[in-house]
Amino acid sequence: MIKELHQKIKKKEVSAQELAKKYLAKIKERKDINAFLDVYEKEVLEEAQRVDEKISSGKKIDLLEGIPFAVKDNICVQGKKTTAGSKMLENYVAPYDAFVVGRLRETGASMLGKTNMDEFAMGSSTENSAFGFVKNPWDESRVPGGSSGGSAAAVADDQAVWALGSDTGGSIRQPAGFCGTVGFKPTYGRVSRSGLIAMASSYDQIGSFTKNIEDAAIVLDAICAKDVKDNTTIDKEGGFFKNLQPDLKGKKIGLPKEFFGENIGSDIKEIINENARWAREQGAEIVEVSLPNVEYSLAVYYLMMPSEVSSNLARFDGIKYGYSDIKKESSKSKDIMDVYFNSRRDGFGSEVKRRIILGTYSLSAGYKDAYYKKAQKVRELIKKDFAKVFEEVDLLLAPTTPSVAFKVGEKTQDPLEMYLADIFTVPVNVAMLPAVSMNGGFVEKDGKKLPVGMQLIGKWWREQDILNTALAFEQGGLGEIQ
Amino acid sequence: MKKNITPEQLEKTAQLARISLEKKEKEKFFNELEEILEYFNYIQKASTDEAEFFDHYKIRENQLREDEAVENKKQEKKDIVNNFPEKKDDYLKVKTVLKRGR
Repeated sequence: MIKELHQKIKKKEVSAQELAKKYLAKIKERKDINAFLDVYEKEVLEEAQRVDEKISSGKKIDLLEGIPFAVKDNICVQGKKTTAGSKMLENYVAPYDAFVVGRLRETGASMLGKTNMDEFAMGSSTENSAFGFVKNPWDESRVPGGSSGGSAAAVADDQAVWALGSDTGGSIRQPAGFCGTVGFKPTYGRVSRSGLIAMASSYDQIGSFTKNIEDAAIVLDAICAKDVKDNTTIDKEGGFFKNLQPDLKGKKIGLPKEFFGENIGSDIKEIINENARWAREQGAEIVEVSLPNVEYSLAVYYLMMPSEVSSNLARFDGIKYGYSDIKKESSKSKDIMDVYFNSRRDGFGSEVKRRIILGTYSLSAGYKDAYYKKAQKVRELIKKDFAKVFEEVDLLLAPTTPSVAFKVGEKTQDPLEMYLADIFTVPVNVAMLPAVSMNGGFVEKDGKKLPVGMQLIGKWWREQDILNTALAFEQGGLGEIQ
Repeated sequence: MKKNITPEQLEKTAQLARISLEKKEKEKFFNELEEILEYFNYIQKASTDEAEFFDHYKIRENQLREDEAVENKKQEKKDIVNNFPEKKDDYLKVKTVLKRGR
């Protein structure tokens, strides 16, 4: 889609300004979806004008130049509000650009604004946003998934050509699955997290929502690079778009049996199996594989993540920036301790407090060994399981979610039930692997067609393998979205 | 049945996390945390005697830089100061730090 739009702008079949206006109009028209928290109307139009003038003067433009995209609101944009979906940062203005935003500015891509999300990226439905929930464009009585629900809904609903998201336990792939878009989560270390509001540092990774696989390759090329401000990033070649070609025949694809157990809906299982059968017909070798320790993934994740959260979110204390009790007329804070306690009580939502307390508890003296340290060790076992299976197969094929998008309010009263929505995405973050979620097919619920996400998981740093095989699946058309 | 957390431990943890909880919230959290911690106990079943660190980077060196001060951009400084909840001139103003214990 990006390539086609780029050609059209270049050939002046459509101006960058017309394109920007089209997307701005759609955002306004579909305001009730609540995908956007902030829209940069003036800047987008100015930027588009610059692109049009550049073309008129005969200059070359970058592939992403003038293409309207959206940014998840936990990624800093200088001079703009960056709320992370929290009352805590309702009026916080980012003093600098995130690394990825800086890279995209260099390409001249047109930033439409910021998308809604679960508070501090904690949630699987975007119902934890301090600024209202997001509706799933396929069925507005259902959630778009989370935490990057705003980005997913925006791309699915054509309110943006593509969007940035972050994936800590599935926050890109799960909403991509629920909204029928492509969601790409690169290898941990592929994309810099500098300027991403930290949630769980050993899990966080920035990635993209796009309409198709080709666009995912184009965006990944633009955002992946070594960054001195993030020591986990390394100098690796990109070139994903250049090397993109469908590749399925002769590929060895594993179906991890632990992803097809009793947790999964039979309708979802059938669609993933149908795709596996199709791949076999196309000449891929499909084998069942086992990851014996993967059953511990969710417990490992929901233990380690709050621990890292409790440490990362200690910075929100009402002192330096963000929500502060002292600004309140009725403030009763007498000393700095009161400011901490009261600011954190009122600034954070329920799920965030729950995770901070959970993490503080599992890191406290006497429990650290039984909880955090034990979880760290199990994490290594899970990584080893994947490494072993990847000696045998090229890729893994699995469902993205155990069910299709659930109803608004269905899981809000039971945190553990909500955590289970991430059961198939979390293992990938635990193992720091790259994976894509793409549409695998549809099921009908209450007379509405709902997308079913399908994951392709690849070896560390082998995003190209994922993209090339995913492209073959896309062209095969089983999950084609009209 | 052995409880995973007691109300006193929850209170102490909330103190450590610098979050004051309302009575109702405390009751709700207590039940939820008990259930979640029970779920966590599942990992105790995993045998980790032979677990060792798996490094997906393979080759990695420390990334060092010269210990030099880097001047911030003027706008960046301005933005940071503007985010202060309370200030005097360009200084961050805070409530009493050393007065009474809690």
